[in-house]
Amino acid sequence: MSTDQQGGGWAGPGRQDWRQQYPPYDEQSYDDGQQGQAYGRRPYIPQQQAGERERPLAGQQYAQPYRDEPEAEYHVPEYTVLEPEPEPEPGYVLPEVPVSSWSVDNSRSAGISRGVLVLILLVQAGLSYRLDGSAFAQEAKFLMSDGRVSGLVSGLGLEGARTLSLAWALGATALLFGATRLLFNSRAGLAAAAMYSVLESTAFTGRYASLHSLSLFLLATALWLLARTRQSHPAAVLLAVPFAALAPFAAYSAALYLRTMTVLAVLTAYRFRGVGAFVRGALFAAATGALCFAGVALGGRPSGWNVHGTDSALAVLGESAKWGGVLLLVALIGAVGFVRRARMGEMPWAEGSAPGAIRRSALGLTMCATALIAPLYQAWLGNDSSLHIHVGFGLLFAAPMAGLGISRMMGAHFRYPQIGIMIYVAALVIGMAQSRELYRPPDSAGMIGALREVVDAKGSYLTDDPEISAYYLRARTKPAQWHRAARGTALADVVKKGSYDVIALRDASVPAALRGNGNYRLLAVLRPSDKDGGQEPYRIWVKR
Amino acid sequence: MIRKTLLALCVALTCLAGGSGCGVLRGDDPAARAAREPAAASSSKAPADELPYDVTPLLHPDKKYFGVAVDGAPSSMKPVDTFARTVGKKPNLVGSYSSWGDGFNAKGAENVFHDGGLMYVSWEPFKPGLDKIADGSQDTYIKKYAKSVRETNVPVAISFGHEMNGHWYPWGTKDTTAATFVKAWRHIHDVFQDVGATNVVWAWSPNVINPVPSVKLKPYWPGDAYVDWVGIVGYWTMTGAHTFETLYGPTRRQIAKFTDKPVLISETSAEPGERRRADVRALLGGVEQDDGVLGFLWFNIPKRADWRIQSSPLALAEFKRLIADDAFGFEVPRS
Repeated sequence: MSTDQQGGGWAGPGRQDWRQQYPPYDEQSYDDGQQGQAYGRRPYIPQQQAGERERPLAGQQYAQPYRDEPEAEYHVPEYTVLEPEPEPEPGYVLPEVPVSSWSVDNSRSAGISRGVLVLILLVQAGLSYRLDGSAFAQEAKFLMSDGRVSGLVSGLGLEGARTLSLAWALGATALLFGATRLLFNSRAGLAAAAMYSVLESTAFTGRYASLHSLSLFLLATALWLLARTRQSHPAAVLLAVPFAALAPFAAYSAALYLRTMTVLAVLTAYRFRGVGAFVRGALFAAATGALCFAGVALGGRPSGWNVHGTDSALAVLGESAKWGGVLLLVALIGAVGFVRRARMGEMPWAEGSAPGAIRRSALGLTMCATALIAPLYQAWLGNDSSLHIHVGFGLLFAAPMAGLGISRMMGAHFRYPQIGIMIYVAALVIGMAQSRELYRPPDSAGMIGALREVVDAKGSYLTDDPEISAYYLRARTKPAQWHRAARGTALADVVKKGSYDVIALRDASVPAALRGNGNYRLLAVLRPSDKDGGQEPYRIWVKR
Repeated sequence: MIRKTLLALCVALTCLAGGSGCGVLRGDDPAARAAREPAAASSSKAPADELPYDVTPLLHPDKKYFGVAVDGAPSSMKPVDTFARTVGKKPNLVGSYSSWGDGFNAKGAENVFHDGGLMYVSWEPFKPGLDKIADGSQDTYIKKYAKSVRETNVPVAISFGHEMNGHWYPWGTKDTTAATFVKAWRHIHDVFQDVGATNVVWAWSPNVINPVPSVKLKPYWPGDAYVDWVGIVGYWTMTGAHTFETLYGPTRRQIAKFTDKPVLISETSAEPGERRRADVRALLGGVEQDDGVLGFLWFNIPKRADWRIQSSPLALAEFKRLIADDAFGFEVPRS
């Protein structure tokens, strides 16, 4: 990111003075850059043979204007060059260059990166906070009884639980940045975080009182630890295991991504440990598997992950494309670019430290394909429940490639920044529109207000949203008093029996069972305050 | 390095705290608010957030309705106030007539409600015929009317096609059948339910059967689910019955065979003459003593006869004396 050094090393001889403002290379001074050295075992130090150093540059004549300065030793005394030199040697040495783009991670560029990341997180928080409303049924269920954490979370109330979700979501984005920066570079990391932060699934999950956000955070932590330990001993991968193993117990859909993590454990380590990389992958898989089995044995298998439905597979895939298509497309571009060339060539002499084509292809393929796991699985199940949340899990893994794609499309030395801006703005607008469209919790305020007047601790109530009623009216009723309404003959039967004191349905018209029924009197019809929301009004009947 | 990381972290946390603080302060969970606050007490609520008026307490009140129909009311409450001063008690039921095609008198309904009472609308389908209403071709008008009723959000009693068992109105026995009447009634009721106009008390009001004994009432009954009150129209005339039992008894006995809905004397008056004072005494006494009778609505308009109570000083004095009883009149609940 430090563009001040852009083009360094290739200035003409007349600019010798300009070059000389940099101190000579010293390994100790580049400590900050260590994290950015993605694939190098040690910093790249060009050959610095004394004889070559002394060699003059082609066809130029030099005075010795800097004889008094310490750098003067880099310059040859004046004499005329007779033969042109095809490979000019830079006057100073850069540290190891990250694989895919040009940047040097010194403390200043790191500070700038973090500043940009904070801006990205602020945008993400804003996108989440613009979504509001009463509780979704699943949120109400989560706050009332679902999950072990709910005891802690329910004390915070809906707003507190949603804020906690946002904190997890922001943490996941920050970790995504960190992981991408370690795997590629800061520029790709920021682009990845920017793309991921404006997804509808990110905004939605960050404003949804559930464990999905925590699960994403755990996955992102595991991903970051995989990247962080890529140069360490294979056993260091065990650090990532608890996070990866816990994620499915927060949200079952995370289980789909443990295989991706295993592949990544191998791919990220390959360069540094050779066969040890496979040991690393095996360690990760074995430890995660063991923990998951232990978890299932102790806490039981999470339910709901394999429920078949009747939704059309094409519709499921179409919706996934709508929600994640832009990011996946950019990720594909990034993967193709990455496979073709390990780096953009901002610093052509750094070619040597890049990973091989097979590993680049494997990494590109793994990351892009992971985005398709949830859509393909749910299309196979024919069940599109919570798909708008689940797509975000796969996109978390495709985002690093998307970041790389944007970095590549902007070109070396930010040649086409407008492309990156265009893609970000497009993704932002699409994400904003989709999250607003999807985030429509039932407008239950009127219904709750009306029910409050007619319920007590003894009655038995039939409703389309038992979780919501049970949650909001928890001070007056017990959850067991609320029963889920059916339609058709089942509804007709209970209406005929008159077994419920209050019936609250969300329906466009009066169901036939309740039309002209002498047992119940229509108390109220409550329309949502947002007329365009497409929500049916609540209709409440009370026993006569 | 650590210091810088901490700084960045602090900035991020501060922003997050600020953002979430704004979110919390915005208090954007109206359902949680609704679960806590009494709906009427919250002054900050927009009219759209108000709960629909629940008419349930009005269906079987402990005290008797004292109603009146006077010219000019309820668009203006002055005639009602004048009547109240004349008889010494404020009515809590104000009659109003609305022809099919007229808009709902929302202003009148609000006037009456704000004065502590309930508007009683006699909805008269002079045209285009009950069959047209029943087949759905009048739905645009019915929906508009129902929507207006719902938006007014004050209680209203509606009596559609009153005196349907008589032959003197176009919706009566001469031009239409009982089945069509029931179909039209149910259709109107269903449209009101779909629209969500739940602030209506439905009053089914035949004429007393005395002048038309051959017309059975049961075929005209829309059903318990569609009716809240049985309203009986029965005037005390010079030639007709002169006791509460003989005037209303035969009709009530016939109705009691198919429903136990409470009865309102929904339109009555006594013809001026020798017997007027006794008729007033019989009416008010009968209403007060009969627990199955909700009250009465006095027709105080000169039409064919001078039905106004003030036209007979003796009868007026008797009316004043009897209506002063605590059993008559009460303020309709505010919410």
